Amino acid sequence: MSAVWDAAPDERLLATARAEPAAFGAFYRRHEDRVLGYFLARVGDPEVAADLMAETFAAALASAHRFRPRKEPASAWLFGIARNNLAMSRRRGRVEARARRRLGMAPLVLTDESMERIADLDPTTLALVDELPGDQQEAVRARVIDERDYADIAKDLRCSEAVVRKRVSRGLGALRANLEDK
Amino acid sequence: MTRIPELEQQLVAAAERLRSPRRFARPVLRAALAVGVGAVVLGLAVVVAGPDDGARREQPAGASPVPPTADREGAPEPFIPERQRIARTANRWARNFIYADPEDCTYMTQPACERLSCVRVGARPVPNCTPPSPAYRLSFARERVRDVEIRGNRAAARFSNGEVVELERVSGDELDGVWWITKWDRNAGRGFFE
Repeated sequence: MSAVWDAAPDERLLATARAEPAAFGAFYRRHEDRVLGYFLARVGDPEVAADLMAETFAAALASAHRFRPRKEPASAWLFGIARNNLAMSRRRGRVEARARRRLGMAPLVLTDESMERIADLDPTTLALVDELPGDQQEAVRARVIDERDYADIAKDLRCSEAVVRKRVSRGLGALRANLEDK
Repeated sequence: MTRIPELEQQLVAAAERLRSPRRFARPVLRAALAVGVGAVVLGLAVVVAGPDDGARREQPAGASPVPPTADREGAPEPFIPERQRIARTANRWARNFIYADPEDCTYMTQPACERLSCVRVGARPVPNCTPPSPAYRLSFARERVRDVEIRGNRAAARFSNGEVVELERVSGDELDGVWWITKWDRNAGRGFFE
């Protein structure tokens, strides 16, 4: 582990991942919680979420050299991989392991301590997102959790950007109110 | 401290392996091997074809023996007659089939692949579906396609063990069409070789 990389931007970490393995370690540390939270909110099971996360980061490492910085942050690229991985795993009925096999990674066996740390990841807010009406839920997830831009979300949801903004705003308002109630 | 430090260690170790010089040498070796294999195949083709290659290129219609085709992954592909393309696809599919990886849908259409894993899109089980037994899978080990019968966009390939698979042209035409397996069970190829 090297703290030197902790301050470097994502784009640099990905560009140097193959030359400096510690750079990818820093990239992992930076995004671990959000990716794990993303999967936890969708599958509910900590072990499956950890498995999906392992495959996502393995795929990211395998294709890091093909990453090209764009307008969107590198995390959007990472979450794109996470989304594909989740969709593919659902389609197949099992967690994908291709990227890990390709990299020669052993199956992930979680220690009790790791399980506890995963359980500590507060899913309250994520659970509240699930309680939002469908259209707001989709918009909040895409914008806040996946950090996608409005135009991209609007294209996906087949509506205008203004509608997406309104849904996100209403969804966040409802979340705030729910959190205050709790 | 991360939540799953063992995963971080695995990823860093994997990145280390990607950096190792062996990794850089591998593509070079692969390319050299592909060139070598390509040269050997080309040499054999010239020797075997002889002066009347044009007359032998397409085989007559109807079920006829198909010479096993060598796999030349990585080498540039010359024109391959349709029967040989079908035989090659079926041979490659059989090689994957014996390894029993339900995730591997290579050379298969979606329904054929679902029939293999007994799982539909969205992780829904396929009703009344039984995955192929290991014995059935292994019956394809070392078998090669012997006959091919084409009917329009459908075809059947019979292996040397008597098993038949059905294929469909999923793109292209007679000259460069791509064929995929649509059926591989006991019902495959009914009526093709009768």
